[in-house]
Parts: sequence; structure tokens; C-alpha cells
Amino acid sequence: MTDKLILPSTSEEQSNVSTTGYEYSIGPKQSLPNEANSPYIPSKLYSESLVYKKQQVALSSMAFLFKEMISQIYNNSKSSSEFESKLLNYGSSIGLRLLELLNIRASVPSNTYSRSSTFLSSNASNPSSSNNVNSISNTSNPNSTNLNDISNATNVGINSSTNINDKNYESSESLASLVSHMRCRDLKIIDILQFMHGTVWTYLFGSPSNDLVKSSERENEYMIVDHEHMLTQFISNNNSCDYFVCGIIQGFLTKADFPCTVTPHSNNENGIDGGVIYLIKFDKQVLERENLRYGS
Amino acid sequence: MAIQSLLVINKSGGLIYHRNFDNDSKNNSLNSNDYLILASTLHSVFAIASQLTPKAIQINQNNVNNPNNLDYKIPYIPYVGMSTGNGSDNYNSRNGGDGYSRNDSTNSTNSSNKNSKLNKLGSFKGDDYFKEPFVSWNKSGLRQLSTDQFTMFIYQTMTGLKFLAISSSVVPHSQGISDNTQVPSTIEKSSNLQVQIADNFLRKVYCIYSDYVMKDPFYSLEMPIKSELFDRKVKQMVDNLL
Amino acid sequence: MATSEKLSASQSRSLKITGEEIWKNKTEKINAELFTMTYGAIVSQLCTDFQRDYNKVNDQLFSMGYNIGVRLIEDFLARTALPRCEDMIRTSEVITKCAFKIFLNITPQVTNWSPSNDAFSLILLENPLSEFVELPMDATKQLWYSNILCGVLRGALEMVQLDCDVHFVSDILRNEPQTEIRIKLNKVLKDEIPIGED
Repeated sequence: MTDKLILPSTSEEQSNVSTTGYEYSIGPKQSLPNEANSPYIPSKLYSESLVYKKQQVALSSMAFLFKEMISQIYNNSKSSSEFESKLLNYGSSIGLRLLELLNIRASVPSNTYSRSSTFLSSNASNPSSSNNVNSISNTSNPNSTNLNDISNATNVGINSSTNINDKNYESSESLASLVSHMRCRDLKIIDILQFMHGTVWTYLFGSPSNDLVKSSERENEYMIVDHEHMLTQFISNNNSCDYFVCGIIQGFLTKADFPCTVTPHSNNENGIDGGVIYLIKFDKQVLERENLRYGS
Repeated sequence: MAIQSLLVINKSGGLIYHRNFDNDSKNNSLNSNDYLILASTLHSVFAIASQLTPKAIQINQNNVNNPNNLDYKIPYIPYVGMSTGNGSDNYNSRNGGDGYSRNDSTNSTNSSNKNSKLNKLGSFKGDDYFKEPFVSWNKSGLRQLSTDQFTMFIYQTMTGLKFLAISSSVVPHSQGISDNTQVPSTIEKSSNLQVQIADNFLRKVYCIYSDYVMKDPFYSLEMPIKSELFDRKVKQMVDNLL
Repeated sequence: MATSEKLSASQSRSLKITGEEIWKNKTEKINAELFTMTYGAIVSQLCTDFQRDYNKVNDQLFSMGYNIGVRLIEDFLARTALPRCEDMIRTSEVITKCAFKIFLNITPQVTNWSPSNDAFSLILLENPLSEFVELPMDATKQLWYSNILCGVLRGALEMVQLDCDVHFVSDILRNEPQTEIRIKLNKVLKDEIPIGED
């Protein structure tokens, strides 16, 4: 399935998520009664949101929003464990969105990120990002897919009821049309963690995490070391606020089918702020699967 | 300029932070109730002083076109209280209080350390909290109180917070003068410089406050500051000022 | 009437430069999408918590914004050290060219001045909070998705002794032509202006 394009917003699991907001099989566009007969045009939100515009806001804005979110959750929690699990859930709801979003962005050849109209010519170049991960599942796939197939796949993906006007599509600069084939999924623990440590961290905080460490004592434990801890750097003596980022990690990994629990630990030595260590404990089944597939 | 104590007073005159940096004063230090009284007294004295100032203001305003008399415009004094070293928390001896002279080698050390976390200034980008002259909001209130024992400086924000530093020195160390025997004009000049350094320093404390107190979800407004990070960052800056 | 005429062009330009300079050189930044998604997580959780009673969600967002605003103002003042504004025209310029620029990297337009110059509108051409957002049908009539902004403005202005009403007039998320926030000065809290400033 790795050679087929699956748009992030329409994966199977997501359509099972029970929300009260949208009917995912229709898409986000509300068809008001008086518009019912007008031709259906899918929202540009999906295609536009895929393109990474690299916009920024002040760290202060984020820190204040984070502060207020913490206050709210704290005031509505009866125990510290309730607080932590609520905060974890907020993070998790973000993490699970990142899996496919960052995966598809990582599939775009890097030289097409500039909003040039010459992306067709760069189509031949392979996405370099897929090279550093294991390629077992992908070796037999045709290494190029023509654009028509892709837009077909896209159409199926967003489940549109009518054909999308080609011109309309071009103007919306869908990212999908830039991707010749998807970066293959990370199947090994070390690969998905590398993706987390590098791509995800850079996306979230501007640089890779400081370290990725495997526990020498326990087979299923890994640690991500983060000296910066951008979101909680202004908060004194409260490790539990780091459960938000734990949630992002946990949501991401669980969504990628690496179920785990993530907990924060302070890395302070002699009163010097050494940042936060995120301890990732994978469920047993993950190790079993890994042993079955790659074990010697 | 050695800072002995730092106080933060909220807009209603309540003391929300105080810290002594001078270990010697432990013996005769005030108890916490004394500090509360001191804070509210200063709050009142500040207001009374403000009532007494209008004449001085008039004089000043008459000279508003003369750039030398723009008293409220505080020049940026580079790297007051900033670490000049190789990214360590330790303070380095600097040229006393004038702060103007930084040789090239320390400048380059600083820029090479930009990526080091220890030199990061929270939400403030770069190697100093600000780099431009600024205008004091405190126009008629108490700004400086000089005695033969100590000098006190007050920085008041537009929201009514007061940041207060007590320094053991009357004149900057760099002048190498330990008594009051110099000619009046020098006293005035060095005292003016002291106020400017103090205003630079206290605005930075305000910056630290805006990061480590305001962005702390467990801090309640107007209440005493318990943030260990605020404590540590302020201490670091005071150490750098020595 | 053109607002640009009300403020001297050079003053206005210098605020613009101040805002841009501080945004560029004095402000640490973070990915706007993380900010957007975090806000989205907050709003959607509130909608669940209040069982889609959007008026309550609006109030809660406003109150969260207020709590932020009364603190965020200290960050703004420490960072900019700008002097007190002499009138609302100046205030509107500082809000758009400095505050919005420094915190969100956007510069809303100021328009619709009341005859007495005590009320104006901000038109947000971009809004990092509502990026990627489409409202569910039941929310489009009631929810002010970015209502936290009004709370922030209200709280921050109050701390510099400007008692203002701040509310959304329209939002493109509700299929309205533009996103407009109305700010009206009720009164200057003169008694609360710190002694020593005059």
C-alpha cells in the first residue's frame, strides 16, 4: 500500500474517530440547503494546509496560550494524575495529526518547496528523505508514478462526488501533485524514532532534539533528550506540564502503530537546567513484532 | 555596581518579591514583616515625591529641545548584567560600572555562543534583552535615593509595578573613588550614569519577570513570586554586574 | 475619512519600523502551525466540555484571553518600552503595527472610526488562530472561533488603564466577507494610572 497516495485527512482510522463536527465521508464543506444543487467543490483547506508555509508566531504567544491551557486544565482537574492525562490527551490530539502530515511533506522533493511552477521537471528526482529508512516494503514498487495516477488517487482520497476540474486543481497547488511517491512508512522502532527526533522535532521546535538514547537496561525503553524544552522553559519546578509534549510523541507513535506510553523526567543536575527527558516505553507487542520481522 | 537587594512591589504597594544578594547583611537583615512595611512605605514616599516634583518637571520641559536635558530618555548601555564569558553561569570581572567598553574578544565569544542554551534569553532573541535607548515611564516619582550607606533605584512600569534595586555603592567602582571628595560635577555625572545603568538593569529584570513570572501558569497575579527560575535568572544578572 | 491622516505619517511609519525590528531581531519564534493546532485542540475540547453550547464557549475563550492579556501586556511593555499613547488613534497604531506584529506576525487594518475617535475596527486579513479551520454547521451562527483575541485585547488594555469593550463583528469562518474586531473605549481609568507618570 505504500505506493498509493493516501491523503492524511482521509485515512481509515480517522474516519472512525467519533467527532460531532464533520461527516468525513463528505468532507468539511457544508452544503447549505440553497447550495445543494450547486456543483461540489472540495475545500481548498486540505490541499493548502499540506503545503508548509513556514510561518511563525512569537514564542511568547505560544507560551501564553500554553500557560492558559495549563491553568484551565489544572483548575478542572481533581488530581495530578487527572491533570496529566488530560494534558497528555491535548498533546496526543496534535501528535496523531502530525504522522501523516509530516510524512507527506517529507515525501515532497526538497527542491520543489519553493513555490515554483517548474515542479514538473523536478518530478524525476527521488525524495531523498525516504532513503534513510528501511526500504523492504518498497523495493518492488515502480519508482515513478505519473501525475495522472496521482490526481486519481487524490480524488479517491478525498472522496469527492464529482471530478475535480484540472485547472482548479493546478491553481490550488495541491502538494499531492508534487509527490511522485510517498515516503515509505517507518516500520522499525529505530526508524520511527529517528523521524521523531529529527523531522518532527525540527518541525515543532526548529531543530532536532538533543539526543535519542536507547535504554541499556530495558529493551523497550528509549529516551528523547530535549535541553530546550521550549514550551515549559518558563515554568518552575513542574515536570507535569511536559505531559503535553509527551502526548504529542505518544499520539504520533501510537498512530503509527507503535503503541507506547511516554513520561517526562527532569534532566536537572546540580540545579542547572538540563531540560527534559521523554521516556518512551513501547508496548510488548511492538517488540514482538519487531523480533518476528527483523529478529535474527 | 553591586546590587545588594532587589524588591518588586505591585501596583497597590504590596511586596511581591525581595531578595538579598549580600551575604554579609544576614546579621542585621530585616524580617519579612519589615520588608512588607518597607515596601508600602516606599510606595507612599514614591507618591509623595511625585507631588513634590512638578517644578522640576517644568524646568525640564522648558529645555525639551535640548537633547542633553532629556532626562527620561535612557541610553542603552550595552550588556549590563549580561554574561560575557564562555557560556558559563559564572560572572566575569568587568570594567566596573561603566559597561561601555567591551573589547572585541568578548564580543566574538558572545556571538559564537549564540546557540548555547545558557546564553539564551528566554523569549528574547539575541545576546541582550534590548538594544535601543528607551524612555522611562517614571516621570515625577522617586527614581534614585542616595545615602552615604547605599543608593536605591526605582523603575516603574506603565502597569504600576515597581522594580527596586539597592546598591551598596554611591559612585561607580570604575571611578576608583570610595569617598565623596570629588568635585560636584563628577558626582553628578557618575550618579547620572548609575541611574542609567540601574534603569537598564531593572528593565531587564522586568523582561525576566515577563518571561518567568507572567508565563508561569501557577503564578497568581499580585501575589508573591515563588518562581525558582526568576530567582536564578535575576541572581545570575546581579552576579554579572559585580 | 482616512485614518492615516489622523496620525502624522512619520510617527506611524516609525511604529511600523519598531514593530518589524522587534519581531525580526528581538523575538524568539515558534512554528505557527503548532500554535494553530494547540488553539484548535483547546477550542474543540471546550466545545465538547460545554456540549456545543457555543455561547458558553465564546465566554470561556474570552475569559481565557483576558487572563492572557493582563499578563501579556507586561511582555509587550518590557519588550518595547513604548511610551503611553496620547489618544486612541495612537493606541490603534500600537496595537496593529507593534502588538499584532510582534506576537502574531500580522498587521490588521484599522478602520471604521467612530466620529468621536473612541471606537475603531480591526480587520484581520490573516489570522494564525483560525488557519486550516472550517466551522461545523451548527457552530457557524454562534461560535466566535478566535474570541480569545478579544479577551487578550480587553485584558491588556485594561492593564494600561484603558477600559474597552472588545468584540467580534464578523468572521470569515462564518462565511462573512471579512474578519472584524471592534474596540470601543469606555473610559480611561485615570485613578489607576500609576503615580509618577504624569
